[in-house]
Amino acid sequence: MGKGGAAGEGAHPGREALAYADALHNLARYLTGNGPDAEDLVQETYPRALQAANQFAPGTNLKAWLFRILRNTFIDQYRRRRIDPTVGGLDTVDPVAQGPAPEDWLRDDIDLDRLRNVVAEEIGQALLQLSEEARTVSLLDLEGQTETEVAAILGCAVGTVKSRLARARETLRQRLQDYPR
Amino acid sequence: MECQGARLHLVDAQRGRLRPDLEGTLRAHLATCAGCARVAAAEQVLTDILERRLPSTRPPSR
Repeated sequence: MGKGGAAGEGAHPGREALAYADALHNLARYLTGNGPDAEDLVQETYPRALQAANQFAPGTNLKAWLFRILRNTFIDQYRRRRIDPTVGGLDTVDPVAQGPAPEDWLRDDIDLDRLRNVVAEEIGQALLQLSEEARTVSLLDLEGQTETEVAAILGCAVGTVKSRLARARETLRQRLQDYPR
Repeated sequence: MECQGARLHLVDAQRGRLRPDLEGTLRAHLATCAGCARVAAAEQVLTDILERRLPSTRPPSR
């Protein structure tokens, strides 16, 4: 998975935007849960980005800007389908209310070894089981976006990103360790 | 630093994004709190497996 978010692109984001097609598709794949919908989402994202090109501030993070457009497009698509992806989402995942404290299920090195031994398919499935917001925050963090950039993409406060990321990762750790072997 | 605050900073610490003074405070907390130290170790493992093993999808070639 790619790291960082190139800043300092030129005045028009058109050509440079294509360099982020893989990163956009990766996020789209984990947002939509399947390849064809991911393709549709990316294909709808690029024309929107071109239409909004005059709103892109040269020298700012083009990758983060594209992620924001893709995520907004995803939400718009869901609204068109009359499904709200945030209902029952991350904010309902309260590790304190739903399960034991993290250290209770991280009792010893055996638990850490279980986490180390998860396989790719289990990681992908665990990620897809997260709410849309939790998936987005986790994936953007893995893409190297800073919390400030993620906050701009999601349209929320940096502190909100920090707490959502911590909760999402805690949920991921718990699910991966609980995966049946 | 309390446990709840410490755990919010674990990812930032991994990414090298913490202010030096905050990082020092976090390290001091981890040295004395076994629960947070275990969570920190698990966070490191999670980052490692996500970065190395999460299937990275690519658009189909045309």
